[in-house]
Amino acid sequence: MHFSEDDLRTALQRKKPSAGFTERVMSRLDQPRTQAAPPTDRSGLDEGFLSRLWSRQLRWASAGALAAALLATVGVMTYRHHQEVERARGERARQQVILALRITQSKLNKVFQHAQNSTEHDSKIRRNSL
Amino acid sequence: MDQGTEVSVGNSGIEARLQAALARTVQGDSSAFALIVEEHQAMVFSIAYHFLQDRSKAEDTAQEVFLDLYQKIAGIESPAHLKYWLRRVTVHRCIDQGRRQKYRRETALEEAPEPVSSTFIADPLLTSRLQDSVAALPERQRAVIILRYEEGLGPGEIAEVLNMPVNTVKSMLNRSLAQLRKKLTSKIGKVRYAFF
Repeated sequence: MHFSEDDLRTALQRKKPSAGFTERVMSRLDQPRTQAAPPTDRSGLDEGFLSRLWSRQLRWASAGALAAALLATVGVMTYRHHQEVERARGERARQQVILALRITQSKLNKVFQHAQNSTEHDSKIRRNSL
Repeated sequence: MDQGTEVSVGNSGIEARLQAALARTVQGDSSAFALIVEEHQAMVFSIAYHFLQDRSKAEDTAQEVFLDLYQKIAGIESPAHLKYWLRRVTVHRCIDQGRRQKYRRETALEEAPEPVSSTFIADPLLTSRLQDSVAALPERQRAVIILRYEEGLGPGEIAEVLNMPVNTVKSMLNRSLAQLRKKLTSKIGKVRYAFF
């Protein structure tokens, strides 16, 4: 549907507030905050707008700090888990070495025993032939 | 004296009175402030009303703006600066409020505030639909449309009030008008009018 800029201007034409508006504003001036502030901000900027901007920056900074803290926590936990895994792996390797040494020792004992038995038998045969 | 000269003399007369009222208010004359309120209440209230589509909220907002002005009047340098300050503060308050509330038309048509001046009688249904559609726009776009078509500001002036680049204002204007056309087409599309 087409509408003209004049239609838009008509739809948005100025409206009056209800009667007595000025009196209502003036009566609120008589309440505690009535003194006109001394000249401070000559730029005429809205302090509320600036404080909203500042609180928005604070919110972003807080979100950033929280994200950094979370990342640091996750990093520490990952590192500790990695350390645990390495420690377990090292322990397993140690056990395997001990087992290998035991097996080797057992086999060496058998070989030694066999060698000793052979030497005794040879000595007996030499004594009998004399 | 022709009409053009009369108007400009009248305007400079009002400006001189406002300049004097500003100076007297700073010196502590609160009755001088009443003249400032009287002169600008329609502008402030209108911006708030068209933005919030709620008469009582618009009045509350307008009152708060003037109370703020009273606190900061010493920083206002001229009547032109005053107008700029009032528009800027009103729009930013409305944008904040608009973000906190969902749009809901509170005012029945018959209770709508009286216009400042009556122009030609446009299609009342179209007027109502346009008002609804403007009030449903995102806050910054709504502000741009109101400042352009209610206050009659150019893109440069709108950019200063809203603290935006001029090109952003222009593209927002085009986008908003396109959205308004689309909204009206989808709302009224199925209704046949004798006019078209």
